[in-house]
Amino acid sequence: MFDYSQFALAAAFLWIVMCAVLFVIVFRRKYKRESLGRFHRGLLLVGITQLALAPVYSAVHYVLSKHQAWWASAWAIVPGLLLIGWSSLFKRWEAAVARRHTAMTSREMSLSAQIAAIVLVYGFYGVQLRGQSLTPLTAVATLIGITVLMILISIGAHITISLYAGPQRIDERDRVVTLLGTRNAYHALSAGVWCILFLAIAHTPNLYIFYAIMGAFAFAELVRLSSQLVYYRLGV
Amino acid sequence: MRGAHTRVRNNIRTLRFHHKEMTQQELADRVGLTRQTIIAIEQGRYSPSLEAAFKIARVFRLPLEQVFQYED
Repeated sequence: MFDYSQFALAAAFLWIVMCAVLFVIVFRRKYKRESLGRFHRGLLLVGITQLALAPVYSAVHYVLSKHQAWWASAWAIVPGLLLIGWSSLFKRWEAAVARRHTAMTSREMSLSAQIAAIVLVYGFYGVQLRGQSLTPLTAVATLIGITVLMILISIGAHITISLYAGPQRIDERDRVVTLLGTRNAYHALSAGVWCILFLAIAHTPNLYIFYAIMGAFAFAELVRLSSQLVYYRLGV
Repeated sequence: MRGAHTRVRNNIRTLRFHHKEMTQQELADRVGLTRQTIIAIEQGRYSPSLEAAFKIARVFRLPLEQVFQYED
């Protein structure tokens, strides 16, 4: 156990001063221009602030619980180090995007919206229904609920994208990408059907078969949409 | 997917410049493609169909092989 002696207080004070000096250096000199440097300045400054707060976390924990706990500072140090790491990754990601492409096209935005809708809706239902026993009635209601929610989200997303980017016509490249994505989804769905067949042969309860069917369908849709997105971004 | 870049190279960007700095949208409208597809062709991320390739070559009034080249 760490003892909050005078030495510890001095070390904490020194730590905060060092972090403050680092903060000032980063803020005023090296990374004054946002576009230069290997780190994203905003994230880097927040990360350093987090590190500086590490002794404060321990002190607050001690005041609140009357127990000495050096590990409380980990709640500041770990996010601080992660933020500093991310500040470098974020900068690289920004540079890569700027080098490679401009903004997303409306078709790519549409695909991304559909992927997000599937992940959100199926994820939400997965968490909600975990451990519950479905009757046939609730299973059908779930299916209808998922479908309606997906349609509503898709309509909303497409209206927003159309207002933002304007109408888009379809040409041969769109048709090729659609065909390739559908072919990939067919393979994913085939794999899912085989898995469901094995589950049925193994006398799996109907509830799990229902989940497996939903999962296979969602997986195939994700494969279709994400592979189309990859084809659009990287090439056919 | 055949990779990030196709083996078909083209001079569309240069030819556009020499044809009164034609925009990608103008070329797309004349050959019936979208601007995104023209961008993808120029960057070598998409090989156009024969029909589209002939249409593009016809816009520049050049034979096909002067617009598109196949790299071994």
